[in-house]
Amino acid sequence: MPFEEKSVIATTGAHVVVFGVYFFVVARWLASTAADQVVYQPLLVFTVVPLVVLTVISHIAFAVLKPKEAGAHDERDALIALRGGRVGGYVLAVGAFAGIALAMAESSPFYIAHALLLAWVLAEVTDGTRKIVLYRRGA
Amino acid sequence: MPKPTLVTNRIRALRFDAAEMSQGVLAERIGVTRQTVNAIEQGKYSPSLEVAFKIARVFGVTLDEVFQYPPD
Repeated sequence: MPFEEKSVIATTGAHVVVFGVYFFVVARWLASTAADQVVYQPLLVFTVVPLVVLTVISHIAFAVLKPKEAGAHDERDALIALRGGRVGGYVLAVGAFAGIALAMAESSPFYIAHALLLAWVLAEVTDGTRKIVLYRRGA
Repeated sequence: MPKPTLVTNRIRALRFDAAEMSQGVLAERIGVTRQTVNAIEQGKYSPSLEVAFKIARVFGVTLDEVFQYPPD
């Protein structure tokens, strides 16, 4: 498995796990508290820490296990990065318009922030998944 | 899902003829990863023209002795 493929799997997996936990926790808070009263900002900022830590640790592990392959990148990786990154842009665009629609409807900033955040996470996961499929099935 | 490329190749046979050259050695000589050589060999990836020429040069053959494209 190429270094870049492992990198994509680790990064996508980290997004799924970290933001899966984040959205689960926030949804539970939302079940018992009004959206405007939910203090999500500290958790959201703190969520970046495990995301970075997981990503960095996994990359270090890949590099230690196969030092010769560490950072190896060629034209196929570049093509897959390009092709894999197309779909996520559409997902992000839908999320951006959802955010605009919520703002126009004078919705709570909580929902606007989370619509944008969800769109970004889904875009990252969509891109990552598509790249993994391209690595496995061919590009 | 359709096969990503119609281009076929004889890289496996050419490696065999070149004293069973490994994918890793070929990859090093043409400047790509071993996994990319494997993907090319299995028809999962069509290399750039530049890499295709490099492969042909490694084996000392012409481009169409390495890669083939089916007639219409």
